[in-house]
Amino acid sequence: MSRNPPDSDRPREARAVPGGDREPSEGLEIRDLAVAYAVGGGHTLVVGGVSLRARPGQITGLAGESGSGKTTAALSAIAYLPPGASRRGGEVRLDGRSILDLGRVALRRLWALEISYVAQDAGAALNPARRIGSQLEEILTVNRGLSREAARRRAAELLEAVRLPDAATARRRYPHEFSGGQLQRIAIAMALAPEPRVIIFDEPTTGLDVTTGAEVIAMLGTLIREREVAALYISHDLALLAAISDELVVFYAGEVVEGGPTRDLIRAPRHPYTRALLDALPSVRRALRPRGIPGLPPGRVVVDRCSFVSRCSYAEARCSGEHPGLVPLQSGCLVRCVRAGELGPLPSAAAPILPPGRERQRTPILEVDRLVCEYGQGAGRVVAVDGVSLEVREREVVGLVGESGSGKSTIGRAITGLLAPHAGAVRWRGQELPASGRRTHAQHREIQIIFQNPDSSLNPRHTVGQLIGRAVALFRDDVAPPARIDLIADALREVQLDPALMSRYPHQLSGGQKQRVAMARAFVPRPRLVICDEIISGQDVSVQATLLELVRTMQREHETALLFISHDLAAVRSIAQYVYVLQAGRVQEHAAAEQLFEAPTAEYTRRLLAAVLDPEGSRERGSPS
Amino acid sequence: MPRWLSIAVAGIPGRVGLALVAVALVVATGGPVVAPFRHTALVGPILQGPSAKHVLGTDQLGRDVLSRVLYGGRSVLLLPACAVVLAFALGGVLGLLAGYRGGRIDQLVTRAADILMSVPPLLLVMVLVIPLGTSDVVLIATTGIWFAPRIVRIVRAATASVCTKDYVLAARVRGESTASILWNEVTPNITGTLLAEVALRLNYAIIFITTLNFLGVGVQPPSSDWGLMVSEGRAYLGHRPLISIIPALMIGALAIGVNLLSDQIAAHLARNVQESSRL
Amino acid sequence: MRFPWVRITGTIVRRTAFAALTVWIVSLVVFGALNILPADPTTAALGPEATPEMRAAYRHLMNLDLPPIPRYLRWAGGMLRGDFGISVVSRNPIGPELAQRAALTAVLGLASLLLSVVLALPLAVRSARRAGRLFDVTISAAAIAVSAVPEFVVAIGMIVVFVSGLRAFPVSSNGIAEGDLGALVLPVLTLTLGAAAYVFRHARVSVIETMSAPYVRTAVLNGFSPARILWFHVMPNAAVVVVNAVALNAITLLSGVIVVESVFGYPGLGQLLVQALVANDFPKIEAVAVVTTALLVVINLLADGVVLILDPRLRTQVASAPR
Repeated sequence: MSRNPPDSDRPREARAVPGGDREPSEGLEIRDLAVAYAVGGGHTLVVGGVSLRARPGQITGLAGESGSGKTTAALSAIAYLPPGASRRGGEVRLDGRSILDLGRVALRRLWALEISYVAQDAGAALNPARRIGSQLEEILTVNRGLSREAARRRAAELLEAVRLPDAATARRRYPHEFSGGQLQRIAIAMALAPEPRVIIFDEPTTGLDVTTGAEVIAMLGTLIREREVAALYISHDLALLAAISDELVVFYAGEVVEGGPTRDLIRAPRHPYTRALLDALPSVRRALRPRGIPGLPPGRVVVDRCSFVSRCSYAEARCSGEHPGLVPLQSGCLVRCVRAGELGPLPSAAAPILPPGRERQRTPILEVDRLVCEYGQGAGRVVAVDGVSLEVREREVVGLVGESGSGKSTIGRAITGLLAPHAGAVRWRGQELPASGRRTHAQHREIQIIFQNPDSSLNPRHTVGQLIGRAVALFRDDVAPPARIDLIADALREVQLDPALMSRYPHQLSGGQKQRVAMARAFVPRPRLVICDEIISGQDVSVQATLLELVRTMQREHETALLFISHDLAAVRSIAQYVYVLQAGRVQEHAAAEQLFEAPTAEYTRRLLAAVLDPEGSRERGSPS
Repeated sequence: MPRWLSIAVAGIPGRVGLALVAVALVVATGGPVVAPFRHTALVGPILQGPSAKHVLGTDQLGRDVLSRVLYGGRSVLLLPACAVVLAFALGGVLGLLAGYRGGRIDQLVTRAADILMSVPPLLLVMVLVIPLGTSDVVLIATTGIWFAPRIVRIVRAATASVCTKDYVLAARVRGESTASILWNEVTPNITGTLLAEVALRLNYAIIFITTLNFLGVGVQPPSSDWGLMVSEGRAYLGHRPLISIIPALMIGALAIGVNLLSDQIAAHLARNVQESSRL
Repeated sequence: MRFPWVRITGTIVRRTAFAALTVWIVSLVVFGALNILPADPTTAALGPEATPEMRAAYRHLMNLDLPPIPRYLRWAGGMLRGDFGISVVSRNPIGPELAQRAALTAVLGLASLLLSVVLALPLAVRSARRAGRLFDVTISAAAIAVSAVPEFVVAIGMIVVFVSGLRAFPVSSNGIAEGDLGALVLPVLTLTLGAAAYVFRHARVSVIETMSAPYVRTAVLNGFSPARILWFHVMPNAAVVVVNAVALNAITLLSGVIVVESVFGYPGLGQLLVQALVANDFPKIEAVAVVTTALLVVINLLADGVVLILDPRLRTQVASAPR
């Protein structure tokens, strides 16, 4: 079927300019942007000296951990300053025009016609009281001046373009009737509607499943290049950015510390922080030991020395004395490091681990035998776990992998007795385990669990000392009461926390520190099995690596078994000896880790592995797809 | 400075509220001591205007209005306070259990509470005092029982939301008993909500009981309860308005004061929630 | 699925059943309080000098010779048929009086409800947009003052200002029966102020919270004008909370109605109730209590219905239990 391709598909040079009303875009250029928040009586600089370039049809990735200033920088760049924030310098040009000093009306026009923003949580970003058709068409009628009919048609086209299922009937539905992935597609459709020059994507796939996220990203990439939009893609997921972005900019402490073509940055990073970030990533292709970064990031821009100096393994005396500027190298990359020239591309410090095997002679201490767990009744009945059997042996690390809805967390709850199984049994040392209320003291002590969200698993009204102290009081009667404080202090030191934190409350700690307290609390009773229920998800990349290191160390030293539940295949690969893959409540495949990751037999496992984005993979492949 | 006090004085509304409540408290407790006359004593000609001897004048029976006002605060403060305590004792325990246990108990308690809450309280109390009489005990009991269902709902909601947190699950995994969990894990996290609610309920209780007194189905003459005084002085509003106005102002001041305090606590609570959930 | 009629009907049926349950319980409690008494109702009704024959006649008239349960059933059945019994004081049937008074009370209640919204909403929106500034602080302070105090205090205040002070309105609203609308002003005004203060506070908070919602940021970044954002993005969400508040208000309106009718002599059900209580006219008390509750419950159902129509989330989710 031969047909003229639509205008947007033709190469840029060949496209006729109808009436000359849209010239080819030069994209977005940000130079030395600085933003401060008003705090107390003065100002705190949260974004300093940010420079980057976003070209039409290309994706520029903004990488960085939480608090690095990437979202603030992006929003400030389009002149959206949150309350309390003020611009301290720099300029931003869109197609050569400066946009930071526009008046209110002109700014609204800019946002309406030329710039779009896709927020992280699409569900929250859509108005719950209005149908999505109405919200989408509003943009077309109000901003682009289309008639109601034309808007309706265009809206339908857009929903098709983002591959929303049932696009025809979707317009009459409300946001709460859609799933997370579908909402994200709708948000992207709304961003594309006014045909903007620039779109900022703020972590759009966080919170989506691996496979759903992969689909959304693929669709996104195609649309960006088709419509020649300059895209800024903010994410903490370096692997993802490595796979989809053309240019990459790394943020740390409110500044750009490195920037350049993605391929070059990933293959040969120049800044120690970029290197450290890459080293913190576990891999799904080979068994690697991810390395965390000691210390905490500063919460603001540091002006008198290098912001990374306290955590940098390449630091020298002069790094503490001056604040490095963003300097271009011959390759075209920009680096903010005084030693960049002399050091050259930094080598990886990640070490491969010997593939651990399953030792057959060890006896299983935990057996899950054809477990069935259900929720709800009648029409709302959901079978979360449908006949799952698994084994954990002494001192073994078993990985339980699955996406959301696979039932993996339910299994964890059943093992700890929080949930009564509908059928099947959970056996500990050969004996069937009753529900939590009826277990023996020993059973309570020997099976511990670390939850995903430390904000929820640590009582906000208890100090760190009280939190760990409770476990000590219950389970360590081998230690006399006067010596218990020392035990708590030791437990904290074991997770690399200062014992002085004993008197602090959880809200005074960082996310990583809180999770470490939860870890200390779980290991202090000297358990035989610790269930880790998604303990690293929701944390920053470097914190994830630290937590993985710690839990592995503690597992070895305490000689406990570990049931590591996660959706993150790479993390599981870096720690597990044996892996079970779960989908919709059933075990699809189980094997020794090495075997499962190198030569998976189940179709589902293969699909999962293919959807995982890997920086090394994209490096090997060459240019991003 | 105790925590609740420092919360209360944190903002201007809180301070104003605290001042108003303090004044009312002083009048209610110390009033009878400094009153120049007893509240039932007939000490002068009827319906006199303000004079040196009777600062606020005399009422329709010849009693000193100022003295009556000074005696009248007790019932306005004491009765609502006792009713609120009763309501919390009843509703709090039921709410905790319903929120923690969930399931059938929860449904039962919630349905019962819904039914009780949907019947109009003023109407029923007015009818109930016919067989039961208007003693203090009856007033406290009926008010307390009518308020209990709302407290059940609130405590239950707060408890249920706390029980979704993993630290409660973690306690169960440790094998802790229900009582231990409710006391150690749950209660410290709902006290803020409870405090805000106590103040609000006190406000409603004051409104409720003074209205009952005003309508004549609460405290009876010759008590100089403020609500009763307002009602008795109604006929003389054109001629001697002070008989009604002064007690009305006192009720207003107390009610507004309690309301301001409860707003202050609620605002503090909202801010606290935000801070503790941030890094 | 445009309007899930099945679900909505189910919710309506459930709420109506609940409302009927409320009325039934009130009837039970009222009947029980007045009939299962140790005191001899004949003394209360006829006075201590009544002869035994009079007492016997009264007992027979009031079905007091029947045991409680059949007596209740006869009474309840009578009411459902429209027979509200006979007043012991006036010896007349209660029914006819009820109709006119019910209408007057309904007018008072509905007028106040509607006016409270009309008054409170624009003030709330304006306050929310200028949160923290002079307008907001002043109006909010006034709202706190009015909503914190009992209605009778507000009523007394009205009388002092308008009747004694300005001499603008009559102190007694009896004239409404003859169609004197001026008599309506003060009672409605008193109730409206209280209800409006309540609605104002909820609406203001709702608008402020909605204005900081993520979808408002989306609307701002879509380049929409502040006016459009306010009316098409903020209000549809804030409105739900407001209507909910108004619906809740209907319950507290009842106690307000009783007080206001009593203070101003407004010839509605509330005044009738108070008169019946003072006169110990048991049949009248029972009838008025039940009818007033029924009236209130109907207004409540209407308000709930409006909430249901306005909030899309309630329509498609499983309906939550009644408040």
